[in-house]
Amino acid sequence: MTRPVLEIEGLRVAYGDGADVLRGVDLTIAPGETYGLVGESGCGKSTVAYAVQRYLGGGGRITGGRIAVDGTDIGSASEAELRRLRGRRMAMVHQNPATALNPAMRIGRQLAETPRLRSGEGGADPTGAILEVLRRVRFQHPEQILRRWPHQLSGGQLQRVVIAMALLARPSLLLLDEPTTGLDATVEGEVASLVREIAEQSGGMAILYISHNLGLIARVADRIGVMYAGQIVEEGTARQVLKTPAHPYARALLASLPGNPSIPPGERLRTIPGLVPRPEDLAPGCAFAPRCYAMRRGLCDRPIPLAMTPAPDGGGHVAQCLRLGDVPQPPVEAAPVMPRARDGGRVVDVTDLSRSFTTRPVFGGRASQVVAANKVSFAIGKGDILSLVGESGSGKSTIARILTGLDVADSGTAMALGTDIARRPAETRTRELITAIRIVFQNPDNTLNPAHRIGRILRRALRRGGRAGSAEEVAALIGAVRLPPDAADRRPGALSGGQKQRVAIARAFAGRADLIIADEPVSALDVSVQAAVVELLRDIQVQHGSAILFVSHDLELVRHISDQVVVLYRGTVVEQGSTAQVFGLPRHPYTEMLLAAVHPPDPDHVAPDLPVCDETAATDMPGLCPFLPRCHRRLPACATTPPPRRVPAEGHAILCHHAPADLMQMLPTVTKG
Amino acid sequence: MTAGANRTAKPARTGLLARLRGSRLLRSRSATVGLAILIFWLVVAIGAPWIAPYDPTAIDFAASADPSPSAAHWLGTDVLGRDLLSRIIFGARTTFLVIPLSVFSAFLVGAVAGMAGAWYGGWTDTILARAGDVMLAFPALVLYIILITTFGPSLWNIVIAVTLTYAPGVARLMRGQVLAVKGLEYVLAARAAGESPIYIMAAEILPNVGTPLIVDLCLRTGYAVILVGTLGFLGLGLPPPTPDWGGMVVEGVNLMTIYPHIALLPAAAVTSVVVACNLLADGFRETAR
Repeated sequence: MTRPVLEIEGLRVAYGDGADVLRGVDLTIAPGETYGLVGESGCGKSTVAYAVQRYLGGGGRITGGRIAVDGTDIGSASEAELRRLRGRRMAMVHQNPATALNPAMRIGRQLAETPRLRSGEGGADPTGAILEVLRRVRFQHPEQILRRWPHQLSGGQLQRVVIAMALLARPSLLLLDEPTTGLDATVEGEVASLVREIAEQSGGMAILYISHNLGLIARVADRIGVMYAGQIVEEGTARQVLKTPAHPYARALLASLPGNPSIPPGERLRTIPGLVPRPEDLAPGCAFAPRCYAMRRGLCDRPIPLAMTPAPDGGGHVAQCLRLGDVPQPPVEAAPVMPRARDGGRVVDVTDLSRSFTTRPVFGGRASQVVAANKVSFAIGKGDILSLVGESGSGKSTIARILTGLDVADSGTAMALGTDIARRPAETRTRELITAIRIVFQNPDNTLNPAHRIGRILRRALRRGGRAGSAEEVAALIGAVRLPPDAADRRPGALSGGQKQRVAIARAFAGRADLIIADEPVSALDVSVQAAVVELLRDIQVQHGSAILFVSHDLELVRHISDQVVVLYRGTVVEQGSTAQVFGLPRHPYTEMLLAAVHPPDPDHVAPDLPVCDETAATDMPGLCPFLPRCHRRLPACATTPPPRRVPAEGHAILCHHAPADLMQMLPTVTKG
Repeated sequence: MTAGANRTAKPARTGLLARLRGSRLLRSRSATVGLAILIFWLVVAIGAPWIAPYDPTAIDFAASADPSPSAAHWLGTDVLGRDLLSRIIFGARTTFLVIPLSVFSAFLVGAVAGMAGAWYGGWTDTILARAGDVMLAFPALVLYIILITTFGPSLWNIVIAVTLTYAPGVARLMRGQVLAVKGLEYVLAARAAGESPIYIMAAEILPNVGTPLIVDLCLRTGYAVILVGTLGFLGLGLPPPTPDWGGMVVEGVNLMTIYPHIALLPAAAVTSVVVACNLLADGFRETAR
């Protein structure tokens, strides 16, 4: 057997004087193998990647164990040796491609900076090697990319450049730390299939792929390690871990995905209660026991060290659980989703809403117009959940902001409580309007003022909603979003992301909210927490009889919770209808593409290869289909005449030249074997 | 439940006030030393009538012949025979009245202008920024001389001079800070809740832009001591015979070669306050990290 590229044995890492963050990680990656590392945030996934490069920052240090890359011991290597390893034998791709590249340097020069090329190993003129690697990451015109500045490329293109840069090093170990988090699902799929392709063609390169997205891991990984609280608690082939997970943590993670086929739409999403414990709170024994649905008293709470034991299906599948072989399936949430009060009345009625932004470059150049909303029309019924879906830049958030009064429309109307709010900023709205339409934002870290205590934030919201804001009312509100009572005295910095989002929800429901605008409220949260926050939102919605405008890019979640769906592309509604209609057939080619990008956590699912498109510019001619440049089903008429609005069924509309009968086929999403 | 308990125990140090009273500041050695020096001078200033051995304006003709330190006058006298120790002690009073007043005025004007410019943007921002640029571009010394010749020396003219000099810089710092916070979601949430601009600026934005401003405040207080000294040197200090450290240096400078203590001792007092302010600024910077 060949020597593994990466060997980690009993790795322990601590930051500062703190307790060990990694508590004995064992991991090996063979040449040509892609290893997926999954787990909630705070489990130590990224620390593993940084420790492998011995790049832990000022405060971090390896307190035990051994790491070897290609047989070189990382722990005892000198700084000079490490520099030779980094960027040559191992290369890393970080989460945010926009900050990974120098904005003041053209792509070509930046790629030529790779240490291997600078030391002359790429030949006298490295341009050939660079062009070749850019072609490998699927740029159709690599010569043009060389001359571009980073800001001229999209997020997906930037990440492909960063991957190209890593590949230029010809590393034997490629580390990818959440490389697609923050990118659109379509782009995510593109990067994942690219990584898969690179893995297959690389001839022996080992890949460590870190992600919290189980669907993506299913696409790229050969083997998977599930990480919890600084340890790998389950390891096996992708098929073993995803199809027959042995550890309750892995089972609970998979069960909390909104696309899980065992939960029919309308039922409750499953959650994992509690939080990942902090390293200093950990005692010997099973770290997951306090959150585990299968915890057995007298067995799982014993303070004894755990060891990896073979799972029942064997074949190298191991897990660290005292009840291994006897672990039940995660329970179905008992309480059903309550029926909602719907009387056919409308909360908000949006007609022909338009908004565009003009951007003018600092130094000359033409002013360009970005259309964020183009004659958007939809209505939200009382008690309904309507979802706005689309990639970033589709105008979802602009519409949410106009309805909230943080922006004003150029034209069109939005009727709520008998008045048109399309051109009324929040500052000019009546108190009644303001309490009727509330917003929950995406980023939990910025949604609450860090200087204020939770009690104060909620008291203020209650008073704005026309209530007294007494301590009892604040306590009731905190209880309603299932936060501990002492949360009122804490500042946001002492809360987890999910808890902060709960406070934001409490703030939104402090008054009599008719419509809650939820702008990607759970996108920044782990799936386990996401489910709990979504269910909370739904419960309070039912109690208040409110409607929700749910802005999201997560189609599985949208399918699970919404009544109506509006699909936006560059500010234009390309399809709208009931959830069943939009997710069923016929569907707009864009909806088709979005749905094709959804990848279940199933290694046997074969994702359709989405057409890669470097040119995402809008069509110049007004009125033409905005999706035309990316469309895989374009007709000659698309380039000359605006697309007609087709109505295949009542309440279902598709903006496309194709007749509904021609939109019945899907991109092939065959299941192997 | 230990996890929850620990999380409660950890205080969230984000507010301006929390930072000020937090013991973390005193864990920084430079801040402690700086604070100690300032408190020393503050006590001296408040207790001046009781501490000072002489009236700072009383003239001792016998001593004026030889102003060197003696048993009667520990630090000597100035050329007019006024007790130097008493004058330095009473000079602290002047300093601790003039400096906080003028720095506070500069920060009030600068912070309001910076906040308003950043919040309202557009024309408000342009006009405020240009006004600041004009003030920064105008030679400071010329400005002071115009002030002296027009209005003569007085406490309020010092305050105006310091405000005109420092407010534009404070405004720029404030503007940048507010711009960074303005688009954050908690500010948007307050706007969407129909909060008034004044409430948002005062309660939502101000507590989160404080730290760099406090550091800047300490540094500028130090520089203001030098600036007020300079103004005293130019004759824009407080009218004589009020003891004023800057003015005392001027009086002593002619006899520098013979009786250096007359100029050097008040200069040392100025230096100690400047150093103390800088140490305190360092302390705040460390704490903010």
